[in-house]
This record gives sequence, C-alpha cells and structure tokens, in this order.
Amino acid sequence: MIGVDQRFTPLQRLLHWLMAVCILAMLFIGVGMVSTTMPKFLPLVATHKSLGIAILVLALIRLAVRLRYGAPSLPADLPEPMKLAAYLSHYSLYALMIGMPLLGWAMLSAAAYPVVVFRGLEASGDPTAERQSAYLALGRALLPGFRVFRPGPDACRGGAVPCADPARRRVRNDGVGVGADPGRGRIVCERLPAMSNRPPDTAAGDSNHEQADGPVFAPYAAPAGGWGALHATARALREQSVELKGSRALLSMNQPDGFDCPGCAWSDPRHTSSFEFCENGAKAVTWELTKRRVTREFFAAHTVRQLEQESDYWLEEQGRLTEPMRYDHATDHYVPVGWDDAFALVGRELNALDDPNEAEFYTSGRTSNEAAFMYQLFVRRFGTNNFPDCSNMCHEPTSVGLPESIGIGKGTVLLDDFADAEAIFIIGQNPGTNSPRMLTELHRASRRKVPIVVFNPLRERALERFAAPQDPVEMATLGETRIASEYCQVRIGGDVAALKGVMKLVLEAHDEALRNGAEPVLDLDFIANHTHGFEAFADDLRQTSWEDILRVCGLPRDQLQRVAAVYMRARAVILVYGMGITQHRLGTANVQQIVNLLLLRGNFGKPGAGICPVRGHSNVQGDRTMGIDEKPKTALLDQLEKVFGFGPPRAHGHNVVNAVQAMVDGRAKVFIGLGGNFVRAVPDWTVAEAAMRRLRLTVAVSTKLNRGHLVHGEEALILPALARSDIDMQAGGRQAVTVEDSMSMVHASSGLVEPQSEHLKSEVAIVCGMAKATLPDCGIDWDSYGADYNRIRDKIEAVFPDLFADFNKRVRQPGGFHLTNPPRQRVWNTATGRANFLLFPAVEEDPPVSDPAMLRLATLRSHDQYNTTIYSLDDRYRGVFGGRMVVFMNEADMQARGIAEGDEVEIESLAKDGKRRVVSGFWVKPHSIPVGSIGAYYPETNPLLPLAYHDLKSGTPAAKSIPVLVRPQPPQQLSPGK
Amino acid sequence: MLEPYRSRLGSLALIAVVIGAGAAAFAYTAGWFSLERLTPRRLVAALAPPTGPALGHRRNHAKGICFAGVFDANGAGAELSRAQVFARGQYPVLGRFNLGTPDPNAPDATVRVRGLGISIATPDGQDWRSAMIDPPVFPVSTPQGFYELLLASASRDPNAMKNFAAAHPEFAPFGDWAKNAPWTGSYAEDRFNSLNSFVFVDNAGAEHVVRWSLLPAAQPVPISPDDLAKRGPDFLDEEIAQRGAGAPQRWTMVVTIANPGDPTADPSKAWPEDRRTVEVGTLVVQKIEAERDGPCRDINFDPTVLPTGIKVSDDPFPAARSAAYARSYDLRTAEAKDYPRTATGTKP
Repeated sequence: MIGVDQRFTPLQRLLHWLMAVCILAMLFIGVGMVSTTMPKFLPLVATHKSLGIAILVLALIRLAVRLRYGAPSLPADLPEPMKLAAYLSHYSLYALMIGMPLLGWAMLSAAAYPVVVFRGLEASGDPTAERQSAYLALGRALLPGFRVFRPGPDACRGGAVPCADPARRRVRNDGVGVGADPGRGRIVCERLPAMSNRPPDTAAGDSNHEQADGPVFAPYAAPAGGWGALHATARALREQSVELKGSRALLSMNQPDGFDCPGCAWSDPRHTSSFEFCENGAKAVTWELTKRRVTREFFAAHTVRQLEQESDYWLEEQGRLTEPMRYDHATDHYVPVGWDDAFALVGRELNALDDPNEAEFYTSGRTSNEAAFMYQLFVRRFGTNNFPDCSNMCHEPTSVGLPESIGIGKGTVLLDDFADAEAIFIIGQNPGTNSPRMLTELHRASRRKVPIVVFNPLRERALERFAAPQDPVEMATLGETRIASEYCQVRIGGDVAALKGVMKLVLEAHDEALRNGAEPVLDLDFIANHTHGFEAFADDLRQTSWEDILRVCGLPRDQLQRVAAVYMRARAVILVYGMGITQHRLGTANVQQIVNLLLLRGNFGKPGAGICPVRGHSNVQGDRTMGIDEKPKTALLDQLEKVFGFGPPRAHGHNVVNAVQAMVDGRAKVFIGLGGNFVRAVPDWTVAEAAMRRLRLTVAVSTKLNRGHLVHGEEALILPALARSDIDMQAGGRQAVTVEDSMSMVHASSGLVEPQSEHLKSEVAIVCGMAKATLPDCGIDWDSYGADYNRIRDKIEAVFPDLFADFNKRVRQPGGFHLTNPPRQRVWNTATGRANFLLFPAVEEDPPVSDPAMLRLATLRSHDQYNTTIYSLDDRYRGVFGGRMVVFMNEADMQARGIAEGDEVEIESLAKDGKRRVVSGFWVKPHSIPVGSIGAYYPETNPLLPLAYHDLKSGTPAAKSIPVLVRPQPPQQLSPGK
Repeated sequence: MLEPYRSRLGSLALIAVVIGAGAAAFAYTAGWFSLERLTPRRLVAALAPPTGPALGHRRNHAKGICFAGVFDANGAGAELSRAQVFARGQYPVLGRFNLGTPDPNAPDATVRVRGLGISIATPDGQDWRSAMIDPPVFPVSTPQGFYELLLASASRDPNAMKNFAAAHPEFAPFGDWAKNAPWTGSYAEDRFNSLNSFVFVDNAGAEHVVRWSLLPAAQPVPISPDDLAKRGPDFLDEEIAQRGAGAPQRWTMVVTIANPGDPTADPSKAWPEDRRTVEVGTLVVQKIEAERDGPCRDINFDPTVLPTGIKVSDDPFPAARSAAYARSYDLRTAEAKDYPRTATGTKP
C-alpha cells in the first residue's frame, strides 16, 4: 500500500530496527535485573545503564533525523480514530524513548551514585568545561547539565569545588596527589590542611612554593593511549589555535599523498590502506602548524639579552619564524636581512676560513634525504667531513656496532615481521612516548598472545597497558590490552648483565638438552654456517658468574629464567631497543650483545625475527644513508668523485663531541645548523655555550625560535625553513621530499598547508643558496637542483646505484620501497663474511664508582616532549603535571638520604675531571624504579653530563648512566629573600 | 495489485503466537514461573519484623548515625590496586555507624551485629563504598542461606533455628562468636570487616583477591550486654558523638590477600591467619552527625560501587546485597514522608 517513495529513509529504518533491538533487550534486562539476587545482577545493571544512554543518544539522533526527513503520510483510507491512535502512540513512543533514560539517570543522580560515562570523564557538570577537549565537549553536548548530585550538608563534597592555584599548590605540599587540571571536578580543598602531616610552614602560606614552578604528582590510572591520548591531541590542537587546519593536516599525515610525520621514525603500515597517527605525532605537527608568529616586530621588541631570560619552553611557544634575520651587535637585536645578503654572508665567512675544517656542519634528523644529500655535497665540495649530527647523540652505537656484528648499521625487521613474531623483547625503549605507533604492533601482538618481554628500569605505562585509539571496540568499551607479559625492572646499566644471564640460561638449557639426547636449543645449523666466534663467546658466558650477573642487573634469577624460557619457546623473536641501550659507556658493545642473543637461535633472515633499533628523528637513518657521516666510507667518496667530478676530502671529520671540543679549543670558527637545537642537545652545555659565543659565524636553519639563536657567534643568521607539513613550491613546481624510516622504508612526503610566510624557503633551497654563494663556480648547478628535486634524486641514484635504482620511479609507488638489507637474506658484509659473536668484557656497562652514595641517573624525555622541544610541562603517564624539575627515585633511596616526596634536591655529577657540575631545584617523586637508579628529564640535566663521558667506540654521550649524588637542597637556596 | 490470500484465522494465530511467546519469555525472565527464585523483593520482605517494616528507614541496619572524615591513604595499597584511593593522600569520607536490626529504635544492647558503611570519594570522580560488620565471619555462605536464616529466625516454630543450624553447618563459627565474643561499649572500639572478598587490580593488570578490615585505634573495653543496657537504649550513638567531638577517631585499614585456593566465594569461612596483610591507610572520623538530616541518610552503601581498580570477586554476596539494597533504597525513598526529618519530630 505504501509506495516506494512513501517509505522512511534507509537511515530512519536503520535507526528504527537498531532501537527496536535495544528497547526489547532493555525490557528483558530490566525485568530480569529487578528479580534476581544472583551475581548476574551486576552485569545486568551495568548493561542496563549503558544501553539506556545508548537509547537516549539514538533517540535524540532519531528525533533530529525525523525532523529533517519527515515521515510518510498515513494511508488515506485509515479511519480517523486509528490515525489519532497512530499519532498518539508515535509521540508517546518518542517521549518514552527520551524520557525513560533521563528518568533512570535522574534516579542514579538522586541516589548519589557516581555516574562515570567514560573513564577519565566524570559527568560532573563543572564550570571549567572549556578546559575539556573537543571530544569531551561532544559528550557534554549530548548530556547537557549532567552532574552528580551529592546530598548532604557537606559543602566540600557538594559537587565541583574549583580549586584555585594556591589551593592546588597547598595540596601538593601536603603530599596529596591531585591532577593539575582543575577541571577534574570534585577536588577537595578546604579540609586538607587540617589533616596535614607536615609542619604548617610548608603549607599554603609559603610563598616560595607559590612562585616556584613546582610540579604536581598524581597517579595516572588509565592505560596508555585511549581517550587520554585523544584528549591530549585535541588539547594540543586547541592550544596552538589550529583546530580546523590541524585536523585536516593530521588526516593527511602518513597518507600516501601526504607528508611524513616528523615525530618519529617508526614505519608506517602500507601507506595505501590505513590511516594512522599518534598523539605525539599530532603534537609534533600542531607544533609546526601553530598560528603564532615570530615576526620582525617580535625581534624589534626584544633584545637578545631579554630573550635569554626566557625559558626554552617560552621561546618555542612564540611560534613560527617568518623571515631571515641577522644579528646586529650595535643594538643587540636580530634585524631582517634579505635571503641573498644572508647567503652572501655565509659564503664570505666560509671562504675567509684558513681551512675548511674550521667549519662545523650540523644536521638534525628531520632533514630530508634530498636536503641531506645536497648538504653533504656542498660541505664535501667545500672541503670537509665535519658532520656532527643528532645521530651521534643517540644511535651511533647502532651505526658502529651493528656493522661489526651483522654487516649493516640498521635494523633488519619490517613492520610485517611483527605479525609473524612469536616473542618480542623491548629493551631500554619507551614506545608510548617516543614512537607511539609502535604500540599498534605491540597491541596486535599482545592480542595474539605473543609474549612481550620488557627490560626497563622505570615502569612505563605504555609498556604495561594500552588502549588503541584506532580500535573502535576498545575505545567504546573502555577496554585495554596488556603489553608486557614480563616486566623486568633492570637496574640502570644492568642490561648486559641481564642479557648475559638470559644467554647463559639458554646455553645451559642447550647443554642439558644435548646431555639428555633432546632437541638442541640453539640453532646449530645457523651457528655453523652463518656465524663466527661462537666458541669463544660460549666460553665467556660459562665463565661469567651468576653472582656478577645478578648483582649488576638487580633482577631475580627466576625472572631471568622465565625470560629465557620465552626466548627458547619462540621460533621467531624480534628484539627492539632504544637509547636505554646505546647511551652508555659501552653502548656499542651493548648493541652487539643483543645481536648475540638473536644469533643463538638464528633470529635473522626469517619472517618474524630480527633486530629493531628504534630511531627518534624521522629521517635520522636516511641522513646517514645520504652520507651525513664524519667517517665516510671510501665507496661513497669514490662515487661522489665519479658522479660530480671533484675530489672529496678523505680525512675523517668531527662528530658532535669532536665539534664541541674544536669550538672549545678555538679550532672551529663557523657553525651551521641544519635544523635542531644543537646547544641544548649536547652534553655539558655550559662549556658548549661559552665556546659557541666565540665563533665567527653561527647559522641556524630553523622553523621556530630556540636557545641556539641566542647563543650566537660574532655574526649570526636565523634562516626560517618550511616545515614538513608546508607546501614546497619551487620553479619546477610543487616538490616532494623523501625520508627513510627505522625499517629502511623510503617514501615520499609532501606538505599540504600553505606556508605561513612568503619568506620561508625549503631546506633544500637554503642549502643550495648557501652552496651557490660559497662555491659559485664549482661546476655544480645548485639552482637547477633547488628548482626540481627529481634532479637530486637522479643524482642520489647515480651515487648509490644499488640502493636507489629507479629512485624517481620507485618513490612514486604507494608506500615507497625497501632498501636492500643483506642480513634479511642471511648475507653478512662483515670482515669475516659471517655474523660475528662479539665478546663483552665482564658485565658492567659503566665503570664502577667507588662512592657508596652514588646513584645512576638516566636522562629521560617526558611524554610532552620531543627531544629538545617541550610541548607542555606535563608527563601524565608518569603522573607529573605542571613541571619538569623532577627526579624519579626509589623510596628506599629517598629514605636513605632523608628525602620525602616533594622535597627539593640538588644533583651533582661524579665526574673525574675535577669540574663541579650541579643542578638544583629538582622535586623528588617516589617512583617505581630500582634501588640505586634515578631518572630525570633532559635537557634540564644535560649540564651534569661531562663532554668526555661517552661511549668509547661511537662517541655517543652516556646520558643513560650518569653517576651522581642526590642531596636535599641547602636551605638558603630555598628562600633567597630571607 | 492482488494480495495473496491468507486465512484470517491463520494471521491471527500467528500474531497470538508471537505475542504469547514474547509474553511468556518476559514472564519467565521476570521469574513469574519460578516462584522459588530469591528475588530482592522476597529477600527484603523477609528482613521485616513481624510488626512490619519501619517505613522510611533502611530495611536492615536501620539504626545508625552519620559521620564525616577522611581516608588517609599511606600509598602502600597502590601496589595492589590502581584505584586512586590507594595513592598516598587524603580523601573525604561519608559514613555511618549502624546496628544490624530492622528496627530504628531497637535498644543498643539487643543488637549483636554492628556495622560501618563508608563512601570514599577521590578526585578522579570515583567512589568506593563499603558496608562492613563486626563479626569475623558471615553466618552463611550463600544469599539463599541468608534468606533461610531470616525465615528461621522469624519463625514461630521453636525448632526452626535448630533445624537451620543443622542444615547449615557453616553457621557454627558465627554462632560461636555471637554467643561468646565480648561486647564493647563503643563503635570506636569495634573492628569492622568486609567479610566479602573483592578483587584488586594493580597497575600492571594483575589481580589480587582480598578482604579488608578496619582495626580500631581505641583499646576495646569489654562490657556485658546487661551493663550496656543500663547505660541507655541509645548509648552507642551518644557515646560516639561525645567521643568524636573530643578528638578524631581512627581505624587502620588492613587488606588481607588470599592465597590461591582460599575460600574467596564464601564469607562464612575465614582465611588462615598467616595470609599476607597490607596496611593501606587510616580512616579518620572527624565529625559525628545525627542520621536524621545527616549526610549519610540518603546514601546507599552499595558494596558494588567500586572505583576502577577494585572489582567484585566470585563471592555471590555483593551482587545480592546490591540488588537488595537497591530495593530497600527504592522503598524507603518512596516512603520519605514517614521518615522523621526534623530534629524535633519523632517516629510516628
């Protein structure tokens, strides 16, 4: 009877049936619930409540859809009373669908039940809703006026008590954890001081505490990721005022036609199919997309001296640089300068040097392959191999150690391997903060019941539990997935001892198996055909005593036994590591012990197995491939000579430590930094700062203001560059660059956002501009490369014909391509032609220190930090809010020093060079960390790290094991005014 | 368009079957076919004394007095549960001392079981409610058993209790306690026990089955029920109000962790003495208020209102208690007019 056009829309029909199912289920659940005292009562009530909310939301949507699309008219031949009945039942159904859930809700509120809609989102109707993110605002829009009503006369319990800052500070001083976000609702303010265990003078009245930028400690109960991550992303967007533009840009990140996320070097899942972004990548991008600008007016308003008084965080918060600036001595201001004049100054100063080796050319890991290639070409054509780069400070032990072991200085796994792994080991790496997208793989692995073994001194939330923001079911059900199946809280510097313990157990199990005539535990074929040095290695293990192993690693033997069992059961093992392994005095040797563990059971060159160093910067690995290397291989130099027809310098150049030393000694006169914040990234920065101020010229190619611009030479330039997300338009059209991730996948990246100023230039253009001004007649047509990056890629192909064959063609494949990785084919480009078992002397990663009060300090980054860039003062997974001057300590170590939570302390480095290195004003937070180990953030603690304290082989600063003393702050520094 | 012929009778039969089957399923779910089912309604009805329930009051533990205070967590519990309430700090508490009787005017000395209900709020918006009592074990091991106990104790049959005890051997330890344990003259001297077991979930997701107790800081002074009776029918309320006005009263919260194999589903069975215990904090009672218009009056101390980090265990009681408490709450809030709200009013 009802014609085709006389039907409800498909959406309405869908809603109808969906709600019919919900409401019928609700009837049964409701009547079942009120008539049982069995344990099922509780799940029934829980379902009843969430289904009720779902029905309310659906009903409101349905009402809106009904108003928009209307309804078919009733059949004309229907008698009037029936029509009336139909209308009335229609209206009453709507009224009931909306009214019943509200009624239930009201009953819960009246009974003062805590109504938690989502974990972390209490429906409390407090007045600080604007602090909540867009996601929470959505929830509120759906649930207007929702609050928990607390009956009773107790004002302090009566719903929202917004705590002003002083109250919060007081709360902190009482040792009571309260979230830094005053919007979190029922924070109890008034009652606490009376209950304080502390003397009253540390309470609210103490103005020293008021003005100090003290952090607040509060445990974070939620899993890593999840709604908290979405909340943080939304907040990052809003705080940088980029909500709309940023959201669009985020959707393009790591997409085939989009740009590469500058946040980390983790591999993307096949660029074609899935969309993946992470909280910290979002922060990195929104940091670029900020609306704030550092203009010529800004520099005119502030002298450099004034800017020096501001914090690093404040400097970066000022926004994007907009035009080239030159330092003017007469006024102590940066003043605008034209690009041509700027390049000319660089050319003049470089050409005025007595020796090309008097210039240092720093590269940050964000530099694209194209920019890096042109940069090394420029620098080598100029005549030096001085390439300090950020890799020197993090994964140099990987670049040095792995070639000796397996013949290539890179990891050997692909993202797909994670699906085939039967066990995953993660050592000294915190993916939740440093490479969040790795959690996607760990999450999947955990769901497959793959054991995940973690070695890490601190308990890190993301290694414990994770809720995948891209898993709708997990998000909707507030689910979470455990990550680590075995969490080994190894002492700082105890990784090798632990690894050797595990390997010793594997070896013992193997010997035992052979004695019993059982299957061998080791992969004997692999060891025989593909490795070298096994016998000596096995002897060393047998001679290493359990006493030493257990003393240094601090783990119980039965835990190592469980880890060894996991390793031996798995037919394919991936071992992931980070800077917790590399930044030690024997970092290179550490890396090689990881290889040994994998070699024992042939965990190379098979699906689901291999080694996976996790790099920080998005292209730090690609830059090295492109030749940013102070110790270049002869083959690279020969190829450069062949392709470009000049003789590149053959002598080794400076790494970071050498470069700083050269500045200190007066041997370096010019510093050019392609990205990064050199002076904050290096150890012992007080020394480095003083040395940099004596340089002839400092050049910073940057996107934002940072400390490096204020610590300048006699002449100084700030050259503003396009960011990864900006459109790069050159004479030859819109350009894309390429990057190589941690898994040797090379893919293209092109920006999508209009540049923030017409004066910005791409890094490639800036490099070519400096090169042209310095070497105008060198036979290299710099302009043509700057105009069309395809020409650069052709030259990259010419220099690396094996790796980059058909570069321009292959990079246009969706997802890019994988660079050849010989160990995957069990081909070993080492001196022995095999994978090498390399020995580690004894078990100590760091030289023992005699002072019994010594603690080992690992420098950490917070969750809201990207290397030297600080996005906010919070570190929520570790429960720190609103401050970074924090030391994480074991409670036993605190007691031994008479330190209580929240006390202020100073940290002194136990260096042997006679120089006193102290940082002060740190608040102590008791934390889950082994006795004798402490953690604190860098760069705040970089001054504690002597320049000479680095990995002996690679020069990487040993920032994860600085021997220090911690003691209560001397009182006079607490109250300077008294 | 020709409509296919269909028997009108057939259509009606089909409709009848669908509606009939739906209605039957509904009736089955509601328990209308299973009259033996222990519903919250029956359980709560069985609590009422022969004279009928005291309208407007809790159906059990009807006599009580409110307090406000804080829970001062020492941080040790954070190892066992991720609930914020165990992070070192102080969290506001609303609570109620009470007597295990359906009669709000029962003389103190006539009631053997005393209880303590608390609701601890944490800044994350969560709430932990717990209603504890002073015996060391619960009299029965299942909600059904509890119902039978109520029937037996209300029965006019002189052998009812004897028969009950014979059918429920688990009752003996409770009976022993009721007969022989000393009485005290103050709530502040009583120990209160969760008896039911719950599951604590720690930060790593590991689960620990626990029970908890509040141990009084005040030294218990034994007193005979007769002496207590001499002090007056409402002595406990007066005493705690006076004591509380003088100084805050404290209880240490101790969590006991079950070993694998311990009877976690049966509150009538104590766990062996050597089980690991952790002191997680101190309940500090700061202010005593009459229930009449006090803050605890409208709180349902539902033991299944738990923060993230605490879950119910395989113990069947919390669910049954939640169901029955909800029923009691519905009844008494609907009878608000019968509750003596003003300080001058008396129970009609």
